[in-house]
Amino acid sequence: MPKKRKQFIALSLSILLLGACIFGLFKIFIKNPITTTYAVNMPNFQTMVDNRTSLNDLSAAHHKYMNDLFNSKVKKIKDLSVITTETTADITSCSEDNISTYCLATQGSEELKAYILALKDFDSQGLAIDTQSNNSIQNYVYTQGETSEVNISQEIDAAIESFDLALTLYDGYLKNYQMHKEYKKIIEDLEKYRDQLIKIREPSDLLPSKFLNVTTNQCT
Amino acid sequence: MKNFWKKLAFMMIIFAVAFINISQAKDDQSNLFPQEIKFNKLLETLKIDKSQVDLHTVFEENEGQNLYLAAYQAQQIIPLENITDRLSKKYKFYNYDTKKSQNLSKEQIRTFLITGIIDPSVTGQSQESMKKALNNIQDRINQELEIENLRNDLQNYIFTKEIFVDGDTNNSGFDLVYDLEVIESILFNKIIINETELEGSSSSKDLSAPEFVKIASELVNSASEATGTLINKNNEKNNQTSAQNRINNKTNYEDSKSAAETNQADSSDQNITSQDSDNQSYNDPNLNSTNTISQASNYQKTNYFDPNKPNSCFEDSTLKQAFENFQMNKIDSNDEDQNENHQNNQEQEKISPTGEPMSTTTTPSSDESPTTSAKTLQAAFDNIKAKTDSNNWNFVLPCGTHFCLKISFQNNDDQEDKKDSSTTTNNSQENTNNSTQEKTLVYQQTDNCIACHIQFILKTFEDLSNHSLVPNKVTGNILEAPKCKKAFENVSPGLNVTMIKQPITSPLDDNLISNTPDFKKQLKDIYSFNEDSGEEPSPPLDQNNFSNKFTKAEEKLLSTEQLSLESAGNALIKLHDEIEFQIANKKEQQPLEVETQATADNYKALGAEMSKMNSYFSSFFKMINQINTGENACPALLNKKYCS
Repeated sequence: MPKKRKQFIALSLSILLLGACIFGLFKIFIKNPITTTYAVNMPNFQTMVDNRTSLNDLSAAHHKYMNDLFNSKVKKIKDLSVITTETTADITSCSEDNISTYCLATQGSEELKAYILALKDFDSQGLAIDTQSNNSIQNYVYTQGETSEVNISQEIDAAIESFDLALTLYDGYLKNYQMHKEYKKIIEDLEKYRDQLIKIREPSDLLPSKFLNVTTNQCT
Repeated sequence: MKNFWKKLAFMMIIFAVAFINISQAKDDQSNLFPQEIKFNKLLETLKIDKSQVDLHTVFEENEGQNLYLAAYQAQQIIPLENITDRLSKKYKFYNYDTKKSQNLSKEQIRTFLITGIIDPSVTGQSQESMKKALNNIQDRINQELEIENLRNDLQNYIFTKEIFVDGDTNNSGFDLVYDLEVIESILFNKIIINETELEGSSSSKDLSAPEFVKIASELVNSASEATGTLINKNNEKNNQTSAQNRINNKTNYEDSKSAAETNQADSSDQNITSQDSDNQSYNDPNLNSTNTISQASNYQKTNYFDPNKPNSCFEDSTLKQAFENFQMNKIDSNDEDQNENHQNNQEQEKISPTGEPMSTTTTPSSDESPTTSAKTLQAAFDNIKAKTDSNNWNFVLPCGTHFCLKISFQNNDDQEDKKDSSTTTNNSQENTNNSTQEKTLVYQQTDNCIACHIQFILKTFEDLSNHSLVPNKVTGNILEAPKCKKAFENVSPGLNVTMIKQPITSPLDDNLISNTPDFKKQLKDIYSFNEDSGEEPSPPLDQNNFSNKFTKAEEKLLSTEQLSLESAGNALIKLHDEIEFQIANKKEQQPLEVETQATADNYKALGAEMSKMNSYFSSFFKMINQINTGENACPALLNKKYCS
């Protein structure tokens, strides 16, 4: 094989491999765009249980709804130019535009309650099937006793704890974001204030500090 | 050449194989807990990348989107990752092949916990040892889980309470403490240390130790080395240089301040034209940029120990003294005895592997040996570190998260109080001199902050008005005042300089604005300030009510302003125009503000106050200009050769 041909093959191979590596690295390190969905309707868990939906699908429907619900409220906080009492402190009517923690908690709790009831119903029908091997230490660790019961109770605990944590964070975000906006206004005002002071300082620096010969030699 | 291509191709193949293996390992789900598998499936269903549900970045990078899933992950998935990590660090087995004790890997623990399989690549006696370690884990797993869950709960609890007030904008997108620091920097020229610029701290999870902790640790180590058997001259020299630089920084700062003072004094001696060119540095376009946050973030992190820097955090007199004593005594480090070396080595052993000492405290003294000064330094270091350790579970808190409030008194009376408390032996004459110096030493000419500008404006006002223009004379009669009597008639009433000591305290009470006592009340009604004036509270504003009030206020304002204008001249006419303009603006804004009274009445009051001040400033500007350029003020005096 001619020398040039060998070099050409080696070079082509190298370029191909290099391209593949760069593509792979690009795929690993470049972040995907933020994916968000927003709450629409509460899932009908009873129908899902009746249709013998799997536990994972039931769980996915719940978490998706919860995530969408939080996404929609958080987006409203960002979008509102002015946060008023009607949208934060009014707990008599929880409209869609109400971004108060109370209303979010009410709406989320209703769904959570339905989900927990569905899980218990699901369990009572004996539909929960554990996919893990019964001989593993994992079962010893996480699923002592009847597998399905433990899975259900774990799922209920996880749903409640996650909702609680997300709600606490949302509440902190809502309150602190309002404060942050007020601070931003103050910062902007202070910046104007400072710039005005600079304008005053310019002529004031020109004020004389010495008055030479401003006196008299004709004194009585 | 031929070998080169062969080598290149070979390397590329190896690289590709390694890359494919890594990619496969990334996608391998056989080693995942059921909770993790379920969560991954959920993310796949929702088409969300796992990086988007990190609780520590969900607010900053995703604007709060996918908050619920981030909370779910923090509550359910992170503990599993943490516990395998902790178990791998805690449990060891003896490897008979390498004849060394080594930690169990995370993968080995995961495989065992999920499938019950012991790593088949480990054989013989090593496997027996590993099996023993894994059985230990199995016996204690419930206890470990309980601890990990408790730890995770506490961590999440603290995180939710502190995420928006920890001074770190990396984990939340905004931070109230950071906002306050920005406000402080605008007011008092405080240098902001943004944690994004701290080395090696890309997020709050892997925050590096504060710089002062590192330096203190270095100095403690170097002290131990200097006095003990582990003498390493090169390191000691480096540390000495580092510490000396610290102290030099302080000296340089003092020098620069003296230089600034000298410049200020010189500039006051020059004529008006030369002052014009000297004093414009603060008015640099870069400094005037309205984006203070980005401007502040460009500040370099400077030394925390500079006691002369206003509002510097972590200033600790004990630590400062310890450093100074350490530097003073370090020169004599060759004269130590072996007993002290031994004690110091014991001190060295008390320092943890991360360089964080754990010994008890001692009190500093001025005549310490290097060993005792090292102890003192360590004690001071412990003292500060103890303050930063509250609620510290996983990471060392950086400087920015330590909430530090320091108030610098800058008016004359407070300066004297401050000085009196710090110096006890000086006589009154020295006190007076020091006080006079300190008044001009707080800020430099190029500093761009509100207090800085006020300081220099006050300084020029003082320089202008503290001259007595009444000429003296030699008296010929007993008890006759040594003043030129004729001068009283000519100069005193017509100086046309009004000294305003604190020009921005309360514009409503300023006589320059109006002489009418009702003026403040009228403005209060317009702006709906909820101040307790002893009167009945005014009803809430609606559009009609507001319009009526505004019309009345405007009428009264116009009438009273007419009166004041007659006596005050053209300057007040301009001022009046400004007020009218501002009220007109306020009228347009008021309906919107009535709607938004929800949460921040106090802030609105403050904002309105500042907005008013900003418009008044333009009037001040015109007045000062008039002093400079008017016929009867300064130029007239300057151009006057001799009074007749």
